[in-house]
Amino acid sequence: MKEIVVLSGKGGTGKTSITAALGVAAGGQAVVVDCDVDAANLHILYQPQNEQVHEFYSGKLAVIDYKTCSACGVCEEKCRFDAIQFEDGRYVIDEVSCEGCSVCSHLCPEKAITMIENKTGNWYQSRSRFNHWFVHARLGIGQENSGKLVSKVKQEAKKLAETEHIPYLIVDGPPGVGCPVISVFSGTSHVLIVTEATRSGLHDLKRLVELIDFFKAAASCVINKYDLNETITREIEAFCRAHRIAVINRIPYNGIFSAALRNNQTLMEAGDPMIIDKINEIWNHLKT
Amino acid sequence: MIVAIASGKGGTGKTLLATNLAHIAGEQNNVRLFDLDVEEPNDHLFLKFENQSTEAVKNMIPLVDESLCTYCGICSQICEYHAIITLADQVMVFPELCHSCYGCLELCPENAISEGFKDIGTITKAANGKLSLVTGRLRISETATTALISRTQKVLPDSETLQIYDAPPGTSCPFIETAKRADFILLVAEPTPFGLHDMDLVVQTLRQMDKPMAVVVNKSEPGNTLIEDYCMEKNIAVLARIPLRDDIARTYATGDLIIDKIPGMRYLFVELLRRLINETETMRS
Repeated sequence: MKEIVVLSGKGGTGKTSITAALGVAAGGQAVVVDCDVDAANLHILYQPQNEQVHEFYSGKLAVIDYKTCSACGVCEEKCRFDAIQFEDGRYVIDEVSCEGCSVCSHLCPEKAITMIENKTGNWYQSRSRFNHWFVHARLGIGQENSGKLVSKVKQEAKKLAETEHIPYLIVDGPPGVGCPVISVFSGTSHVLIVTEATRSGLHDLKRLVELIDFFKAAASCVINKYDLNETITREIEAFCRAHRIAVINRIPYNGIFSAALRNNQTLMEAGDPMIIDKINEIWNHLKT
Repeated sequence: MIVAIASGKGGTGKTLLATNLAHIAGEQNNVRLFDLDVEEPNDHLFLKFENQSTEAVKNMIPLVDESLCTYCGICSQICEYHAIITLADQVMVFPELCHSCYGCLELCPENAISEGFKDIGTITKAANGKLSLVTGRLRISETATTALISRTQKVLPDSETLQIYDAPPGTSCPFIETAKRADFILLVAEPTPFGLHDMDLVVQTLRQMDKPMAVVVNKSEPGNTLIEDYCMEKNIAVLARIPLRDDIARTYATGDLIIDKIPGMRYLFVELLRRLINETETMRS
């Protein structure tokens, strides 16, 4: 199975629009996976049907038993994440800040703190309205451990592709270069970078490529909004050449992206033949 | 006063808003802008200040003194992140998994563990007149985004100063770390179904954190009231609308401030700042 992860570093380059369209272009040959669990958007375009919902537990959360707590303050002193505060005569765990490290529970002289399993979110397996398989997730409000949910979603999608004998996995990756992106790398055959011809786009591309080199992954690049600034486009092309990354397509700054989104359509439905051709070209390049 | 600029979805215009707003505010008063999008910091591309100083940021990792270690394995049993593994005659530390909780150091019965350090990134300080910029930059392959954000926030200005946070995208730990120290959140939203969906996630998160907020609509088009309708329903003030225009996109692409290049934008940001200060003062009283 070939696993293609779409990344951008910077947000808003058109990564999700292009991923959604590639999923349609693949015509059932791919399981599409939304690994941007923090701000998942593919389901808006795919309108999944017959969803199976699975709960995802990950990490721990400290809970104080006030019947045994002597309010000695050791937990507050030892917490490195400022997650325990003294409020209204008692120590209180800030669930949002708690990293689940268990140090307070080990050091509490009264054994008044227990660690409970924390529900991080849900993941879903479904068919998109285009009838291809679709796996996505939703991180709970204010939850952490999105890296673990990213790994989980990808693992499940892979299992599904194997059972259903589907040759490709197309993964919409998270923005940035931190924990969720690093979680998406394991087992990746190819990274498709979607960048844009802006100073920020180029800056973030360089950081992303540093990470791709660190994982020794193969990559190719699509420059979106290439005509916003053609000097920057040439800089992106030179940078990619120096890093042996093929620039496989350039897409102009085109109102069809936001027009399609506003109508909840993928780029394949929005009807600009030039864009549809480009998406097909990108897919043909990726699948070989 | 600390104002965080946030969006949920990436690419809606957080950096555009943060840099132009900080510049306008810094023409009159002391302002410190914190670039807390430490995985992809971009504010410095628009505020090109010459006087810069950069320092490395380090986080604790366990340093095992094997002459004291009895290989009892307690450190490995208590580590929730599997960052320290005890073998028959060796202890292995995996710095990239360590959350610097100090649990192993606290609980080692032989006191064989002391503080070692790993680089998680850098903090760069730069200034020009009344405006200063503090940038956190995560080291590539490092995952301690939240720790670096928290360290960057602690580079406090000396005097009474408006502090502006350029927040990371999303709604999980990096965003929460940023928002929890802010007094007020300014959301930048774009009027698309993706923009609305992700903004709603941020609003739910902020309501849970009990944070006051207002909205700026970016890439606003006549007749498209997707964000305004949502804000009306949720009782959130809309403080400004930045239009969807090619010349704005091109100015941003080049790395320039739109208040300098695009007619009308200076006035828009002056007015936005005035309304923002009004909102925060109403909130205080």
